[in-house]
Amino acid sequence: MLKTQLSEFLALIESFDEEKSGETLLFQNPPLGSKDERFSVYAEGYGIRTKKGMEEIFQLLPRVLGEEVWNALGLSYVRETKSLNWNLNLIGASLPEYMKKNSWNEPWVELARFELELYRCFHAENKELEFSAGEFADINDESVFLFQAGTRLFQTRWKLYELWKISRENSLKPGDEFILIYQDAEGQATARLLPEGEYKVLSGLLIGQTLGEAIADIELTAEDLQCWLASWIEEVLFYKMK
Amino acid sequence: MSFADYQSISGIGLRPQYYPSLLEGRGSELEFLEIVSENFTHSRGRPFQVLKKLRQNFPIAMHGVSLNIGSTDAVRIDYLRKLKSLMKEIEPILVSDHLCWTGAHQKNWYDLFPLPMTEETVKNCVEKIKQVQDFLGRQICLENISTYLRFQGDEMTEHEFMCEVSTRADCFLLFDVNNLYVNSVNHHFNAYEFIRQMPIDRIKQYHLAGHTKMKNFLFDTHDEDICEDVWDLYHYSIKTIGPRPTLIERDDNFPSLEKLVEEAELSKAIMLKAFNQRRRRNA
Repeated sequence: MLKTQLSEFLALIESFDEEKSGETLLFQNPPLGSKDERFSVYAEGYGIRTKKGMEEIFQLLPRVLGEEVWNALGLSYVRETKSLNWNLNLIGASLPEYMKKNSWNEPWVELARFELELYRCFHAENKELEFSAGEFADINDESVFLFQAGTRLFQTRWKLYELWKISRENSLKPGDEFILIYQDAEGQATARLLPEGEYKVLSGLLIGQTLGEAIADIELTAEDLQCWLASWIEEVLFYKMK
Repeated sequence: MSFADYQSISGIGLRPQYYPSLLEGRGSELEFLEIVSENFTHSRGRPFQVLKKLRQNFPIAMHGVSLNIGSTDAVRIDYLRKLKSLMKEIEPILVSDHLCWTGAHQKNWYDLFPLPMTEETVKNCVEKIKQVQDFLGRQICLENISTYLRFQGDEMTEHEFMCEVSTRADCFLLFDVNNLYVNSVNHHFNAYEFIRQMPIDRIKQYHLAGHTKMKNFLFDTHDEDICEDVWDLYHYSIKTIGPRPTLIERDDNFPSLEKLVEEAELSKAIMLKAFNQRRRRNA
């Protein structure tokens, strides 16, 4: 009986339309107002809460798409997504895949993917440093770096960084970008643009290559490398060197 | 801190809006903070680091929203594992969730849905609470929720339902005074009579919050100040049931930290007054 009652309750939410006065026998008549009026709290609540939850991850995408399109996207997404996750804020975690599957314009899919990476960076556990400034001098071709969980690389064919960091416009221009995402000293997720060479070296190091392996096919000067290493250490992209 | 002192502590819900103020050392009058457990079961980034820092100065209560204790779905062991792991790290003073259901057929609806108040529901809840308590290795508190509709075929009143579940499952209750007020208006019953019938020994904590007046009912929104009627009910609860750790809950339309601290201090003053009166009576 309980199972049936709960199923009926959910079915009512899924088919809820306040205009049609659903004469359900599931509930008692309330002392004031109608069943529909009160049931709307439950029926409309899911959309309101999931939208709010998704906007924890996607802050720029709603602005860029405009409220109407964003609401329509959110609604179709949550209707088709069976969320098992108990954290409301993670309900949007599959949105980029959903948008891609449903043939949304590539720049918007890329923006969604970028914002999801920023969110993941923010919630990643960065470790305490396990090396001293003195060890900086010991870095050589055999050095391997253990990266912080918050350190991520992002490559795209759209000017996402420009939109995220600088532009107040709501359109995305085409153009290759190589972006580093990392946690700043306050634990906030931040990003900066990388030259393609630095992006490639970091990509190699992130998958566990030695410094020598990572720079093997890259044209760069010793000064470039010194400069990059200094930035990476300052930005605490990794916590240990081997 | 003596047992009597512990019973009279007051605090607020920890929300990101208050991280900067609390980290600056403001709000030191607060005696505990309560987290929404699910906000920390996934994150190990800044929110968790903030929590760990604040834990050094404040006792923490863990309050969940996804235990889904009233559903016919099985208890989720993956969820309990995460909860237990967080408990180990935070060493909370209380672990609580809601006497409700939040989803079925393996879909989470992220809401606190009302339960049919029947013997079948009691049995279902009791069985699941026992599993949860066995797994977590401690007793949990369950909160009475705000509701807008009652099921046909209810076999008991809300306080009877809460008594049955908590007694048979040997769990505790988190008594949300605002939820009682909202329900008493929405379903036309006497809230004072309800308080007199509560199982005193089962109640471990109070929640206080605000709500929104709709045309024909009250909506539990946690986005307003606590109203006078709820303060009156709280006062009566303290006199009838006794002081318990009291939490000011705010989830939207956030005021300054100082404003919430004021409300927490008011609850503390009410508890201390009742405690002193009782002590004088017993002397």
